[in-house]
Amino acid sequence: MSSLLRTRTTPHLAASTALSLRAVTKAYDGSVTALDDVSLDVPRGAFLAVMGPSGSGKSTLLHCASGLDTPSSGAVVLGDVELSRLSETRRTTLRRGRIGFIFQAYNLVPSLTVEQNITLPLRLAHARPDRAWLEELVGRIGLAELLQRRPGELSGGQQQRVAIARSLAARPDIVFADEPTGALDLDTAGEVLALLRDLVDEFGQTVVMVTHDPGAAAWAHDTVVMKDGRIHQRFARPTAAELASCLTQLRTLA
Amino acid sequence: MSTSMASLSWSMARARIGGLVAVGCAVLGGAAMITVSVVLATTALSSHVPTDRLADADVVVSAQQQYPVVEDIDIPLTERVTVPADVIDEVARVPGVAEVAADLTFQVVLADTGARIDARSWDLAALSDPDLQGHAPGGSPDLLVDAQTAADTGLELGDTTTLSIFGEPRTFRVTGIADVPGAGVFVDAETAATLSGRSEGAVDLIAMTVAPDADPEAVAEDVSAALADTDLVVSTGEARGDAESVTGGGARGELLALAASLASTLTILIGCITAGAMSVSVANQRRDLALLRAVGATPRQVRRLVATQASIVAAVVLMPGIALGYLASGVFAGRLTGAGMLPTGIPLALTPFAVPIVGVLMLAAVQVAARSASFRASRMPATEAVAESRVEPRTPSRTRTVIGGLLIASSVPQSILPLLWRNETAFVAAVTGTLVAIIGFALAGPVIVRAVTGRVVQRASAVAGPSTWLAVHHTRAFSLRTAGSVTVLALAIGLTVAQIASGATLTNATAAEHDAGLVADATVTGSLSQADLDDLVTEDGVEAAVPLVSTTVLRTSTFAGDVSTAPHPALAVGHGASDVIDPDVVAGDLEDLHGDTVALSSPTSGSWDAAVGDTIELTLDNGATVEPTVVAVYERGFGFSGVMLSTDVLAEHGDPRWYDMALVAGDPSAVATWASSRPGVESSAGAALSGDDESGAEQTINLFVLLPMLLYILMAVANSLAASTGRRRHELATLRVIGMTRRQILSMVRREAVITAILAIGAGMLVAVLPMTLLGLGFLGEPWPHGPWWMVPGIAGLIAVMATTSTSWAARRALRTPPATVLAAQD
Repeated sequence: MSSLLRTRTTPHLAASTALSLRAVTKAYDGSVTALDDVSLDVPRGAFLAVMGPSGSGKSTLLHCASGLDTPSSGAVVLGDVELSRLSETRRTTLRRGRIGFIFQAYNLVPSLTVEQNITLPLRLAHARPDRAWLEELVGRIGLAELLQRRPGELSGGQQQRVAIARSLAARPDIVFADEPTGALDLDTAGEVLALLRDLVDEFGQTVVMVTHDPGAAAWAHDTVVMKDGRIHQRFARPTAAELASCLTQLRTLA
Repeated sequence: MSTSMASLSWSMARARIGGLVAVGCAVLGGAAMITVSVVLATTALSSHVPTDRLADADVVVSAQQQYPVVEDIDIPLTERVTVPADVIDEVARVPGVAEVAADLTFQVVLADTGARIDARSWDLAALSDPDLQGHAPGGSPDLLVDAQTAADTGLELGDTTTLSIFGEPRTFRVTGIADVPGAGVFVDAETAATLSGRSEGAVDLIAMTVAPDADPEAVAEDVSAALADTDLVVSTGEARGDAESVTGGGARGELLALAASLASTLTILIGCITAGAMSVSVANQRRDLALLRAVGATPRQVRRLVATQASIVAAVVLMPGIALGYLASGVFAGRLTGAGMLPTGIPLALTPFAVPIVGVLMLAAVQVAARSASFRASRMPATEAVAESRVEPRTPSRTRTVIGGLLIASSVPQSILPLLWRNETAFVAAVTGTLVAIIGFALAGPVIVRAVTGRVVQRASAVAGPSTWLAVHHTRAFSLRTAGSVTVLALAIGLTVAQIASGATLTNATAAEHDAGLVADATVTGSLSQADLDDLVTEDGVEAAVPLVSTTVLRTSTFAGDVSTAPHPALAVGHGASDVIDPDVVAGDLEDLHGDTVALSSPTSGSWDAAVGDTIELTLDNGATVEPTVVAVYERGFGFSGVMLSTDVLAEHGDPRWYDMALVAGDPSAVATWASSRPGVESSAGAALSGDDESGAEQTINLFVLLPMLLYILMAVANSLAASTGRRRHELATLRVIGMTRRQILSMVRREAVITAILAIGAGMLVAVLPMTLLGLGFLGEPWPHGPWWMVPGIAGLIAVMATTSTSWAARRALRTPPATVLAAQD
């Protein structure tokens, strides 16, 4: 097992821990338990994939970890802030400064240009954009030529690149990606994942990615596989084949 | 597919109910308003004033009380058209006719009090063989008084009383008192004929009873046959009521005209609103429709699906809408009665007739609106449809913009017209110009909105906070959506301002011309005969006493081979008019206005092509055709009507009459002294024309018609705004996820609504305030829109509040779902 993942929480987070879930449980309407006593640490600079069959709780994990949703019990700690205790508005302002999001459906604002979309979180936070960083980012992601276009004029792969640039614009502590390649063809998906991996490696960016695709998960450093709201198994630098067989095993078990 | 179309429509509709609520409201309000006009029209066509004095007559012969107009609604004549006396003998000879009574009513004044009452021939009342004290009037000086009048005046059997017969005092003795319908005093037929001054013994109408074994309908047919060579009207049953009341029949014509004009306005309005609601609903379902196309639905099937969906909604709200309409017509009828447009006692025709008419109209409107709203969405290639369902902003077509621009341009000369001509044509042009400009704006709106917001965007980028900045961007990018709301709101503003301001301008123009043109020293009111006025002029210090009567003349004109007849308000003035009024004569001389003569305002003179010395043919309000000579042309056509007749023309071709007012030149104190000796006559210093009450009532009706329409428009826009905000829940969820707080989102949405409202107010002002300003400048020399001061700020505020509350409400609702849920449910 990797040292990245610990089942027990530590009283004080190590400076190198970006995100920590401590005994997080999420139940809906008192009956359905989507997350069942999950604990998980994500160190800085890690690229973690979360896999599992439908209904295993991976989306709920992402929502609770990112502060989009609050756990029924347990704690979510981002850096030095306990997210689960904050109000909706505080979580929102924290989100725009310290958390980036990438979605399957890109979720760009269609009325804004690429450049405006990328800087939108900064604008919402009334933050002055770091020009040098944005230029570097845009150049690295390959959007320099597309800044004045609108999302509707871009291909899916290009739109997802814009979404990646947007998620990184505020230099967040952590980026959450929810099936980022779900809407893309195989080649484009590969390019986007390679880009994500490169960004992690080059900039030391922490990324948590939810996916059902073993091929996508294999681009991450480590992978946790979830089942019935619990972490079923953890893999350190697994191959796509290992993950696929684990998932097949899960399906036959069910 | 077609069998399951309804259920498929319904299941899709349930998921996107927001847009369909707007369609439902549009249909509900539309159905209610059309029901009101159908009820008014059927009332006009089928309801009858209840019979009162004619209750015991089986068959009635009366004159045609309407002027027939080819291919249009006949024009009601408001004064009694008489029946020639020889008809009496003619109908008496028809087999089955038992008794014949000629009816004749004229007005007399009680010398003691100055009260004006009806005097009638006893014959008609005698048909019903009423109980009476004393005996029926046998001949002058016998007078029978009805019980009500006896109670009012204190007259008793055997009393003598003096009645003024058009200025001539005559003493009668009360020989009978009877409880008969129709208040007044009664004399025998011969005396009535003499006193009424009716030429050649003409009567108001002829009533008959039939023999006990005869069928009234059959007798009526025989009477009609006997009168085949005349245009007299033979009526039985309920229709007798219309013959009895002059105004009843006339008011029904007016009612029909009102219903017709309502119907045409409503058709445009409801069409626009339904189409607007429909396009919001289609936009809400765009993605679903695109998916249907992708799985193999043909464009036609998609359109049919949308149409079926809308029809189901329409069918659901149709009956409640009609029921609402029935209720509303009761209230509206009350208003009309109050304004004197509907005779008291006329029953409303609450027939089930409205149901099929309204049903067919509304369903047809919905079908057309649905099919055209979904036209674009249904014809897109399936793949593109799926793609475009995500990317909403699209460019409006060029043709649309060009046509809109041309319409707006064409409205400009119309609004400038009042600066060049001061007449009704210019007035009407300015008002229609407003409507043309609004339609133009509806088409060119998206491009205009984009251009205006484009400037704002550049400035906003530099200074504004993120909420404002985003709001401006959205408004601009979704210019098609924004322009839709802006147009409808601008329509509401434009319509209201144009309606109120044009009415007020006309009133003010009239008042201003009265101020300038009434030069009399005193005004006398009460029941005045020509003999009374002749007497007044003999007083020391009184130079002239000129009676004024408001009436209507009909003018038949031929334009490009089409013969048309239209009523024109006219003023009849007595001799010596130039001493009391100054209508600003530019040709001829007002001194010549006596005998068979007429004066015309210069626009009237121009459009009738009649100059001083020409003879023109007119029809008077009692149907008589006259050919007066034009003796003067004047400028103040608003204050003194387009046509000014000599009272001699009325006297020559009608019955002797009582005047209600006269303008006097001379010493006001001498006039006051004279008036004080006459009961019921009052005098005041200075000159005043009555008749302003009438235009006030008309404006009340206008307002009463306008208000529901305005509410309807506002409700429709509120619905569309709410629905299109609800559609943005996905976009709002995205913004929340990337860090926009609830407050920021609400403030952004509110600002968008404010921008929409500001654009609408700007557009509405341009299309209405500008023409109305020019109208004010042209007609009154005052360059601002006339009307109550709160009109413009009031309606602007109302629009702003309505736009922001409906959008905020929808945004709050959209924010209730956690963003993660919204984003998870999207695909």
